[in-house]
Parts: sequence; C-alpha cells; structure tokens
Amino acid sequence: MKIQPDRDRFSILLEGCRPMVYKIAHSYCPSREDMEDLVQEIFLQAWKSFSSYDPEQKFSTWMYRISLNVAISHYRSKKRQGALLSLEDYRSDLADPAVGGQSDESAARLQQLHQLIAGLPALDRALMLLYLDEKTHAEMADILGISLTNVSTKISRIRMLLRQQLSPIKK
Amino acid sequence: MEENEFKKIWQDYDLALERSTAINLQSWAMLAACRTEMQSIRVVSRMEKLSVFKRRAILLGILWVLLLVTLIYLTGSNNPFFSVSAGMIALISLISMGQYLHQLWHIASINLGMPVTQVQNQLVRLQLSTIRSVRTAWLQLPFYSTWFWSLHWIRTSPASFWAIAFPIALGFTWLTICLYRNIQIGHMDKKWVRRLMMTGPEYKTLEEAQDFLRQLQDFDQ
Repeated sequence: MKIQPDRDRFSILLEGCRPMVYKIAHSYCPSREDMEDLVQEIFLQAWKSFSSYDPEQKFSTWMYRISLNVAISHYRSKKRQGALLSLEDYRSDLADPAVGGQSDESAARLQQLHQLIAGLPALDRALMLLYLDEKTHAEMADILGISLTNVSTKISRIRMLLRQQLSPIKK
Repeated sequence: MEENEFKKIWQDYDLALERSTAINLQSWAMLAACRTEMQSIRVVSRMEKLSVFKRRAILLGILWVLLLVTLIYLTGSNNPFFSVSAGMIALISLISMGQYLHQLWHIASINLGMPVTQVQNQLVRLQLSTIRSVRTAWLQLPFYSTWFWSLHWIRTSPASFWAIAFPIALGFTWLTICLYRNIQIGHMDKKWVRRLMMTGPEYKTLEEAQDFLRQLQDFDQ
C-alpha cells in the first residue's frame, strides 16, 4: 500500500506531540473510555485540518490549538449533558502508582494537581496546562489568542492558586 | 510545594501516560486517512454532530416547501386565502433554511488551528445564532389560522367568521409579535421564554453557550 507523503510527515510531527495530546485529553476528560474517544477525535481533527497548517508556524503551537479547541468543545458538550464528574468523584487511575509507576507520594500529588485542574473553568484549565508544560508567555498568548499582559496577570493568579491549594502531602 | 515541583510532577506524568495501556493509537494515521474506517470507529466528530441536526432540518424543510408549492399549484386561484397563507409559510420556511445554510457554512469555515479564544468565540456565537432561526420559524404561526379561510365562508357565515376565526387569527398575530420580540438571548432570564426555547434538542445548548460566552469575555479581559 502506497503511503502518502503528507501522512508520513504528519505522523512524524505528531509523534512528538503525543504526550501533550494525552495530557490535554485526560485533563478535560478523566473517564478512560471518553478520553480514548477524545484523543482519537483530536487526532482526526488534526489530520482533517492538516492541509491548513502553515509550516512557518511551530507544529506544537498548532497542535496545542487543535487539542485545546477539541477538548474544550468536548468538555462543553459533556457539561450540557450533565455528564461531568464531580470533584469528589474525580479520581485518575493514571495517577495510580500501580498504573503510572510513580512513588506513592508523587501519585498522590499528581492526584491533587488533577483535582485542582478539574475544578478550574475550561479556559483557565487550558492556561494551567500550558503553564505546567512550561510554555513561554508569548506561546501561551499565541495559542490562546489573548494579550501578553493578560497572560502575565492570569499566570500570577495561577501561581497563587497552586501555592494556596496544594498543600504538602501528609505522610 | 514549590512551583518547580508541580512542574516536575507534571512532566513525570508523561511517563505514566506512556506506561498506561489504556490507549492504543498505533493505527490512528491509518484511521485518519481512510474514510470508511473513520466512520466505523466510535468517534463521530462533534463538529459534524453539530451540523447533522441542521442538515436534517434543511432536508425536511425542502420536502415541506415542495409539498406546499404543489398544493398551491393544485388549488390554483380557487382560494386566495389558502394560496397566500401557504405561500407565506413556504417563504418563511425558505428563510429559515437559508439561515440554517448560513450556519452550516460557518461550521465548515471554522479552522481549529486558530487561537483557542477565537475558535471558541466562533463556535459559541454559532450556537447562539440558533435563536434567530427560532424567531423566524414563529413568524409562520398566524398563517396556520388563515389557510382555511374562504370568501364563501365569509359571505355565508359572517357571524362564525368574525366571532371565531378572525379573533383567533388576531390572537395568533399578537402572540407571534410577542414571541418575536421576546425570543432573544437578552430575554433568556424570563422563565417562560426559557421554557419555550429549551424544549427542542438544539436549544438545550443555548443556556450553556450564553454562560460560556460570558466566560470567554471575562477571560479576554
């Protein structure tokens, strides 16, 4: 079977973004089954939109936009159906040490972080994910379509929230 | 906990995701490239779902207008009330279909690779534009109370016509004006408007869309 060059190129570019797509999907969709659907939808939408991708632009920036746009729409759709998990019910099995392979403490902290992210509105959640992925303010502004000043203000709030909400794990 | 610690935990999370066997996306590229396989998987694009209702409505609308035009043609000039009423209903249906077509064009022109707030703004405004179609559709109402009028009826039973049929048509006209003025996003706080608009499957999204638009506006400030 002849493989189209575009698909090869897309495949190579996407490989580097896979962890990012998983993280975004998981942050907007903790249910494993729905997360699989969402990841697939992100890939499909990225493939469908690939013809409009400008190679002058960083692929990861473009991919962040696609992933966040699809994930936010998915989240809103679930919200309309009343199918979102409550914070109390929010438990990530990927933060389970048995699944993730981390220490108990790291797993507990990751769980705490997930619960904090899950409590944020859809757009603040996007900004938090970009912040945790160590994107620059300029990249965040470019991905989200807001001003640099706005990003700086919001990041200060996020930092404060992280300090206030995530207390050390009691051993 | 220090900020760097959060970021370290977040980066380690990559490994957890890689180890997880929950997702097998090895074949995603093949799936994406092959339309028939794409259709066989559980995921149907949510963007596509958004347009399915409108496509079906347009299809039904075309059939409805064709039926009305056929009836007008068959009745000829026998009953001007019927011709005018059915003609107005067909015209208003055509306008509604035009609005749906416009929305479908908007859906097709959304580029997900654009900045998040821009795309979400387009999507939410598209959802809110549904309300315009509802307002237009209600304009048909008075004509459903006039299509069976006839000159013969007015001449032979003027009492029943002026005492019953005419006031009913006037009532429907008043109701239509009232609905047309009130069915708008700014009036969604009114209980009766909300009840009226939230009955169809399409309109359940309006309240959430309005809420999300506020979030977008706050986020952009």
